[in-house]
Amino acid sequence: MNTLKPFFLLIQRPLVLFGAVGWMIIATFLNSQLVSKGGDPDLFMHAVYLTVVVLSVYSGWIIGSCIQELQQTSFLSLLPKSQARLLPGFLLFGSAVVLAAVLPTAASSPLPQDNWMLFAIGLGAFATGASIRDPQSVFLTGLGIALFLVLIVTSGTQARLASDHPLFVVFLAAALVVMGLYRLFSHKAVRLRAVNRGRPVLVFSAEKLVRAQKRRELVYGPKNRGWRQGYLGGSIAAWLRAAWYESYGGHRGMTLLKTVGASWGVFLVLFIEAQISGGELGFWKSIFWVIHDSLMRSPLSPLTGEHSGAFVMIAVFIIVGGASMALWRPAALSGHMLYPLSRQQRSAVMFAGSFLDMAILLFAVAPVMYFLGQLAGIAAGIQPRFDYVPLFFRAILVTLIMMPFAYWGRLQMQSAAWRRDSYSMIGISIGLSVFSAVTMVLVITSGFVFKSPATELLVLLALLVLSRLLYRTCVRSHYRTADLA
Amino acid sequence: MRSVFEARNLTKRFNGKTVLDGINLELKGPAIIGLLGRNGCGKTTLIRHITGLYLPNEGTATTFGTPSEKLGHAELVDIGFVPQEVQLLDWMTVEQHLEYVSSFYPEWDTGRQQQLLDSLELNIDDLVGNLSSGNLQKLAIILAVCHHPKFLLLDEPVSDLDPIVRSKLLQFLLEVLQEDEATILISSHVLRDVEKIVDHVICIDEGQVTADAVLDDLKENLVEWTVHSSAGNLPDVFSEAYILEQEISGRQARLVVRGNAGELESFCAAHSVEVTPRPLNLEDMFPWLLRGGWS
Repeated sequence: MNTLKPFFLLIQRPLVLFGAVGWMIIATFLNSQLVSKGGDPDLFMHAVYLTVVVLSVYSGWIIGSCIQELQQTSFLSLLPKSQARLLPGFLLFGSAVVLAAVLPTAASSPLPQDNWMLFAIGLGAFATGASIRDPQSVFLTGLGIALFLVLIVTSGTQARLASDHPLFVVFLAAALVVMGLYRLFSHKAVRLRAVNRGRPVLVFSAEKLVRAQKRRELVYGPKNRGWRQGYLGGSIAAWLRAAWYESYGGHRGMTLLKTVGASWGVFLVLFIEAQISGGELGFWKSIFWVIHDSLMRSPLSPLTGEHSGAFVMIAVFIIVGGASMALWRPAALSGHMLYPLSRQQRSAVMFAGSFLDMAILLFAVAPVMYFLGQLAGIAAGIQPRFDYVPLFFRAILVTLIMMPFAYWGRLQMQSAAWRRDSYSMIGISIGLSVFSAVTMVLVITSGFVFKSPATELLVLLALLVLSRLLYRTCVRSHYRTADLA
Repeated sequence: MRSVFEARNLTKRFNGKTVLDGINLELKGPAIIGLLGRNGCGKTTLIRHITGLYLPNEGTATTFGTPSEKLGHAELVDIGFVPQEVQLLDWMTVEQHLEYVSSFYPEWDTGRQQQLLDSLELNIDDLVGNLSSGNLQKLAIILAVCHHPKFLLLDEPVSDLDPIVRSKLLQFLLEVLQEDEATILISSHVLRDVEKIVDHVICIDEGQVTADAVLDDLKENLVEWTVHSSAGNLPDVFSEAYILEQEISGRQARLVVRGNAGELESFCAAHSVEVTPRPLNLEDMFPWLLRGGWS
């Protein structure tokens, strides 16, 4: 117990995150129940393997990132036997998580299967996830991501392999575990992390890419250094321009497009390619789809035509883009500097900035996503199609309606009380998950509930106005009463 | 002297913990004021009330006569602020950050900017994100003073600076005081440095102001006596009420006393001893300031 206690003390922060994603396990269970009552058994096997792999990789990723962060603190890296104290807890926690993913699905299985085999695959996936985000090696991280993609697109193959060549699968899973442990706990890796400090506990972050992009432009493109504004004065428009500059650097549209392309586009193309060329991924749509399938399977039917999953994926990326903009890097003035602006003016800039984000989502993120999605479709041999435009438009509108809630959450996290503890990043992670899941469910529900597109459009526009008005009231109240910075 | 900040019954709580507990305080300038106190005593919280970033739970905080929640452009352009934890826009270069922040203010003294860049040896082409904590502090100081603020707030501004730069900075603050007739509030734990420049000292402990006095008055009020007896051993304890602390060893003693020189002669006569008085420095004085037992 004395050996395990330090591990759980050190990782109590990420445990909050596990609480937040506990719904994934429940969703998996509900899903398996639904499928077992009339679903296609083959699809069920895909679902089981996919769920176990995704959940295990995700859990491993969070725990691995936290362990790496701890290893980077000079405080922990100098403690005697610190790695030996982390290792048993890591293995125990990984086993518990994988079991939690395996048991609910296996319990309702309509097919005979070897749960131990599934457990071994889950453990391999957990170890892969734990070492996937090592900032010390871009190559190995790339390899880890590639492995993750292979794991998710080959769920059917895994199921067949597990049944035909169980020894080979166990050997493969064991190799993944050993590799993951080596990457996390080897002396060399730990020493490197203690020397080259960083913060790996960052979920997929557009902000990081924006910052990298801006840095590159500033370092290599002196012409781009142009903040050409004289005295800003009291005009909100001028301060809005400053907020834009702080968020997106220079004034060239290309910066924005590159950012959008780099942060979401690449992943979108990868996912679509994986879905379309994977073939055996008929069941898989996304994490959000799993929830949706579990809660309301029937409304999906109008959208689940041939290859529709790939196009729905574009909508998901638009939603994630909106959440990312609102939660990580809204067009807003930095909270860390003392601007010569009254609280009322700051609230006005904050509110107006949300319209800049709205414009970026409408005119940059959505078109880029759509274009890249079509491109990926063409690459996979699908003719460009336009019958999904209403779906994208609905996704954009619902995202815009929901974005003020994300802004509001972020404002609360920026408050002095929140900033003093270390939960803000976890809060953002949870916020992203909840925002994306709820928005996706609303997008699908909206399409199902409203039969007339005109009525749907009117209702959504009314909700958009309402949510922005609500946001304005909340922002004003916040800046009138809250501690800033 | 004009009043730049006034706190009346100022109370601030965080999650139920009272950090400032009904503080009454008035800061007048031009002057250099030292804000002292132990870690977590509420110095930063007080400074953030002055800037309007924090709002009181009870009482009022007014800067330039305006309540903290209503501070606007007119008041804020006259404030310069170096926070304890410097967080700037790390993707910009130093030059770009200076250019950007200068656009916030109607006037920006590029001559002073260049003088400080040269004096503090800061490279304008460096990325802010790559600066060491010391250099980041230097940049924050430059950003805070080039618009000639009337009220300069420095929250632990020298903690990461080397002794040479610290000395340059203190000299510069005296110049700012003369040139801009500014009020400078400096919070620091490096008391030897602070002592060289401050006129006035405010000490906070457990959310309350325990000292608010002119430094010279403090030095007159708290004095160290070195006592020597030629006649024989000193008594085990001196019982005079004005003696705050005593260390007695045979014929020698070190006393910390409160009061004026009038007590000295009567003490020498009463105990047949010789006394050499010496004013306490700020560091020695600090425990007494916290206890409020100096006046």
